[in-house]
Amino acid sequence: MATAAPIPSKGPNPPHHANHPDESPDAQPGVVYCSPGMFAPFNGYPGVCAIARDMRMHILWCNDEYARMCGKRVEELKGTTLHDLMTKEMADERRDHMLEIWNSGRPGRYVQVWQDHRYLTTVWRLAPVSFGCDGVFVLMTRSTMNQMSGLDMVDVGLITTPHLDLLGKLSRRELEVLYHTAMGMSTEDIAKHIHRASKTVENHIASIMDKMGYQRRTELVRFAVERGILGFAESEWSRIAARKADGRERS
Amino acid sequence: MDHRAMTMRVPARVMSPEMFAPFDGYPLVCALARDLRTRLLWCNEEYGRTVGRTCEQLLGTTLEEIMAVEAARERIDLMMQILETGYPGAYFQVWNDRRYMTAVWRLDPAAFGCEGAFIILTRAFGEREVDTIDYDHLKVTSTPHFDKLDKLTRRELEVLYYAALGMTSDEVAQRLFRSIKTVENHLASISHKMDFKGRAELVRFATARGIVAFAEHEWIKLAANKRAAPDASEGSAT
Repeated sequence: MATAAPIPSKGPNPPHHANHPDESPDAQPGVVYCSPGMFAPFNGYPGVCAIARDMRMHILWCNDEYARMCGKRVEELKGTTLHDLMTKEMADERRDHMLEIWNSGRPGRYVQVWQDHRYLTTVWRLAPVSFGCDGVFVLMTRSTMNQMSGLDMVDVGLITTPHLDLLGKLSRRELEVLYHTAMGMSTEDIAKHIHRASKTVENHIASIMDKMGYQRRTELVRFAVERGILGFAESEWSRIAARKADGRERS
Repeated sequence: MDHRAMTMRVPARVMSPEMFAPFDGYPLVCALARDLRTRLLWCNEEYGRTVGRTCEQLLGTTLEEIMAVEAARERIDLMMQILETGYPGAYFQVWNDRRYMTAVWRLDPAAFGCEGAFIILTRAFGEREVDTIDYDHLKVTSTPHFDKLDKLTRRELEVLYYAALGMTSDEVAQRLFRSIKTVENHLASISHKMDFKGRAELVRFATARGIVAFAEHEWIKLAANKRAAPDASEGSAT
């Protein structure tokens, strides 16, 4: 799992705190670690969720921002796993991605839908000295689009099971129509694109507006842009919409 | 002055590139270090990429070299005010047509052997996610740094904002005390200059750049100050 730029594990002036991985006797050469201690200077920085999990995905530590996004207190979240937050399929897919990155020994990235928002998630190996066990250090930031200035997204993985909030009310087809509408396609264009009648597409749009409580298409566009839905390629969003249907049928 | 207006309650009061090192290569986050005369001491790749140059080319350059004098001066003043508080601080600005939150720390003097500022720029879409910052009192630099938007007139910038908020031409006309015909002309001109095909594209552009995240009075002020900043052609003539 390569990254766009090498992430050095050590600089000339390493951060002075107890958890620096270089102090760990177990640190393996060539492996890049991160720990809450290294993140500490940025704690409280807006829009960045940071979490440390053990290999069974139990939360060892998280920042206030992550707790706030989950609607809980940090103390309540400690010891909980992904399975407590989401369905088994969703938790399993995310866990598998994290363990794959851990095995690579290098930081890795994937994008996912969490609470209707597109997040870019970066995973490091957790410095074992931090909590006395192996694990992952995870940073999550909202990502409305791929970096237009040319960040290589080739090595960025995709979580196909979405974690939906308001969007959970929409059907698979409605999620697709939402995407095309936000992209600026006319009703007729969408109808041709998904091989349905214009009338059907109109009904889908009316249903989306009704469920989301919107009066205007422009509101829909803003919703989709702000949540990063248009940051996904069309093929990615179709896969995500399809997995949503799976989850619902099962429940 | 009231320091709460710009300070962030984050643990580190001093920052250096080394402390940022684990996050270097983290996308969408520009990080840089400048000395007190705003000469660039260090920047990450993302900043170089956003400016459109390599980090080596940028070393030693000042803010005045990448934006108009007024715009640079305002940012330098804010940076100095924040450094004087002794705490990390933040402000919003328009840079390259986009809304950014700019956070400023005191630079660890050990890092480059001089005083300076450590700066992190992140795109801001208007969501209030943390309570470590008093968003209501955070300043907005009044001089925008426009790229493509520079082609638009002050009035067109205002119409762009209202249209992106979802207002109809009729509603925009009422808000601006202009006729619908005038507003429609503005919209046609915006679409022509920016090469928008349809209203949805306009909304996408403005939303993705965080323009609708500004309060109305903030954007009106930015649009008005657009005229204050000389463009490149005028600059050489005077």
